[in-house]
Amino acid sequence: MVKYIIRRFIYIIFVFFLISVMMFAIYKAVPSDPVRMQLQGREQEMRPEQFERLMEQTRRQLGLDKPVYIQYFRWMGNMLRLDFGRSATHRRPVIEVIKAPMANTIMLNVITMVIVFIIVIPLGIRTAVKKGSVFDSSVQVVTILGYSLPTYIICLFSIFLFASTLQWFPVGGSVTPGLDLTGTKADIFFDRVWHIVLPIGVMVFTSLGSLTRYIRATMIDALRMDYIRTARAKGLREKVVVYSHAFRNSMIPFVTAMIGWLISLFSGSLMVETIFSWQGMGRLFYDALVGSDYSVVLALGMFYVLLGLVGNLIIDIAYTVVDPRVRLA
Amino acid sequence: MKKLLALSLAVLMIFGLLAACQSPSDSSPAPTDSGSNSSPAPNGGDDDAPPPVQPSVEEGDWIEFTQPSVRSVAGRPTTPSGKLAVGENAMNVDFMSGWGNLGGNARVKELIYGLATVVYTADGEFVIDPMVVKALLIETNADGSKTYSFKLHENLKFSDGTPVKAENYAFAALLASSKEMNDTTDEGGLGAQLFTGSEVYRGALDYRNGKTNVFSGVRLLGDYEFSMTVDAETIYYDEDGNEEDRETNFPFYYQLTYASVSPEPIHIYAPGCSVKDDGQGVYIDGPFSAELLRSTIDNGSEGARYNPTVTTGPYKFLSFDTSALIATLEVNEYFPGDYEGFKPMIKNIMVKQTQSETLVDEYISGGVDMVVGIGGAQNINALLDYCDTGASSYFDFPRYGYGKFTMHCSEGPTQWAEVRRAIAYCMDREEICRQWTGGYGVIVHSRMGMSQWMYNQNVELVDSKLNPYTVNLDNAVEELVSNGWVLNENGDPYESGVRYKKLDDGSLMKLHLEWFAANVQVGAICDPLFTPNLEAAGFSITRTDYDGTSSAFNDAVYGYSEVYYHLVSSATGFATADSPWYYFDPDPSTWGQWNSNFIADDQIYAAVMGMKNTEPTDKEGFFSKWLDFVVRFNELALDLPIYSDLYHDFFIPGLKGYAHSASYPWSGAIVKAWVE
Repeated sequence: MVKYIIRRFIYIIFVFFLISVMMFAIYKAVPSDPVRMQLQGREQEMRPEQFERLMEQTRRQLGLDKPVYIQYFRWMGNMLRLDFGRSATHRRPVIEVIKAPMANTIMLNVITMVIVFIIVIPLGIRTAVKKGSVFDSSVQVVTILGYSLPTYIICLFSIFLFASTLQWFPVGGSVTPGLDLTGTKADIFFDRVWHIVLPIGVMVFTSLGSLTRYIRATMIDALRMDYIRTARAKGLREKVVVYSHAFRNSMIPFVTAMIGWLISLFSGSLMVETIFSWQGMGRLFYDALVGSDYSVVLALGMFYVLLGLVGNLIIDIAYTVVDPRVRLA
Repeated sequence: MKKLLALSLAVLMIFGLLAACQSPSDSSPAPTDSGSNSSPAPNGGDDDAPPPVQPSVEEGDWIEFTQPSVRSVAGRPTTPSGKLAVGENAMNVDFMSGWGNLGGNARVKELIYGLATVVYTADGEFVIDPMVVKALLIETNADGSKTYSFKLHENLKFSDGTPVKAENYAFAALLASSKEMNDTTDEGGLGAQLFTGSEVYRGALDYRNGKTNVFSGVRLLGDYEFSMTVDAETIYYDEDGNEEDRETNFPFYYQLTYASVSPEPIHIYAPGCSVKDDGQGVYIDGPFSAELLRSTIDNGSEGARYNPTVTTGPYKFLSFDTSALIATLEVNEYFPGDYEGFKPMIKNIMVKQTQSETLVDEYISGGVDMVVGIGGAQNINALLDYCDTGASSYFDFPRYGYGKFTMHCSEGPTQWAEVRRAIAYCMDREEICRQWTGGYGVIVHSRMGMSQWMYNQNVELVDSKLNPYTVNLDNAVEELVSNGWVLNENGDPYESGVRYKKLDDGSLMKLHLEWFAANVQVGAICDPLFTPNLEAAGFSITRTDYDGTSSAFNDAVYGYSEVYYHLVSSATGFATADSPWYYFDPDPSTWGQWNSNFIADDQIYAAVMGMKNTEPTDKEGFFSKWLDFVVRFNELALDLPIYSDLYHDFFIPGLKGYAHSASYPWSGAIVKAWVE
């Protein structure tokens, strides 16, 4: 096991550097001048000669006058020291730019994940047990709606219905402006809850379909097994058969899905965050891409690469925990 | 040619400063007659203390200004109360000049920075702010330079209660021009951006380049007295010390802007430092360094650029919620009043980033109390319907700018005025305007705005001299034929399809246009109203829609892209005091970044230079030269204006006394307004 983990860590390091080279190459291949991006909007603030000199000065400061391989090593060296550079758009260190959106995204995703799992586990089991019933068919129809409709349609519809028409919830944002001036801590807490309901509602709705069907399928498989028939023949109560025998054995593939979700805690939903004015990672990543803010793009890209590699290792280790038959070697 | 730019840069600096601290004039705009349903501006009520009449600014003697007393207007509260949340569609953490100016940040900066020595009125005039300046002396020196000496009122304070003294004004000049400020971040040339145009002041370039630590053009004459000297001409040198350019600084129509400067809190930005003057000019005494500024200005989330807690405007900065993107401001109790004597009466202002996609819904659902500068028929109609329910008020005003097709004139078919005019004759601008603005907009026929005094005081005269380019294919063809577009692709006489022209070198040029549509929606409206006519006249055209990346836009507008775009459809706004002399320098080094038409035309350049070099008192002369300019601009068809919106501000009915216009700063309107 230990040897396996060490091997995987070496593999992670190798893949991480390989991908970093690829990402850096893509970044260099993009037909955009990072110096112009850095100085965007400054053109009309100085004389043309002065601007040209500033371009050269900034090019030197950013190290872009050096050969590409030196630029790569400089970038990688800085990144390993957790110096991700400055955002050309926000004009702050990338690490500062990421903090608030990351916290927002994690909060949104954690709450969504908890609610989703609270709903989908019993729902998936119930639909598997009641396979073919009206209840099963109804759940299939409702969850497939969230699964198949484009997220932005669900967002806009929920805004139209719950914010504009019924006015139960705000259209967007995460707090009411100025409430911190007059409200109590309880007011502020409930205000945040009030603001988060719609985006979380949409995220939960769009997530139900796949996970419910996933659990349903694994449960149906488990309920067909011989040991279930044996358990029933022994006279065990149906609840015990379903939850202690069938569900525990259907957990193995479910673990993969769950860890995948844990990894996605750090990545935001572009549509939900954009439409609900939620300052999260999805929106940040998108803005960085369209704004050619490559310091942010590269930092986030490498972060997600690392997250994916480590996440896969965690999934493998988790298998050994939930299924004693699995041995890592 | 480039001298123009260098000299004129000073005005840009002033505009930047004024954008942060303008005060309304004594003739702030009344609500327009186009349907605004807000209450009248405070000036419309019974005023028990009208502002004192200030003397005109003339050279030679000290001019004394009377500090206005605090205005009390019928119906207006006397103590600040209430709050107002304003929605803006872009915002980040930077609240100090020099680090970008997104819409939300600009709103905040307008409100928190102030006490500039010069303000701009709604009448389009620069005036000395009598709330700040006690006396001014303008002297012309023997060498042709001018010295502006100030005596300040002694009751001015920063938002933390620290007195504002002459040292703070001198420090502003020193800080922004300093090498240390330039070196604070690796973002390049920051100081130059903060005090762009400072090179007109004596000794500024030597100080900026680090040749000396003394800024000889700025003098500290007492606790509340300082002066600034503008050289008769500014000489620029390259990095090797060779003279690069030379620019005369007088006369200059906006020359009072040379006397504009705003104070900076030296005790916050450079603690332990002070401004000294040993008779040669001012310098900073103490541990002033880039390292110090990094710790006070650029320090994580606590530096002054992120958390500007000590300022001078009508409001002070309380906080910025980085997770919700909401800036919260509160009335600055030390603000003495704007130049008319108005003090803010809305206790708290919150500026919140709001997605443009959901702006209307967010306003209607109460997420914000105000949205500013709304254009486009769809949004306006939706919000006017909401106003009909009585749940909202609005205020409308003509935009100070326009949507347009910019012609790039250095290459391809659009290098000829005849072709540009032919394009103009093919464009149904009236219909484009109607479809985009839904009737809430007009078209103009040259580079001008409905709010400009030069136009709105002389509408008939100006319009009579401009070609409206009414759609006319015969005229378009006539223009093309006169310019030699009479061949087909084989060089034979043109009959149908795309026209060609034989160039001097014998080659054929195709009458093909590359069109970059910055606003995809407007592009989609224009295309069917434009392209068929062009093709009927013998053009071919390719439209490229903006993909949303900032680099694509800049590449197209500034001419960096591989494709040469002959037409760019976009929109522009004029500076508060429009200064077209920046934008028509025939020197190719200015094309793109300044000269957006890539045009080299001596006549238009002479016209704009004539405007610039007008004595400040010669308003008629300025108008006459401006008329020459807009007529020539129209003849050359450099831009084809396609709409000038009637902007709408929507706000809660409880907001009273609000009156905004394109030339009247939003912050001034907010200072005068109150919430019931």
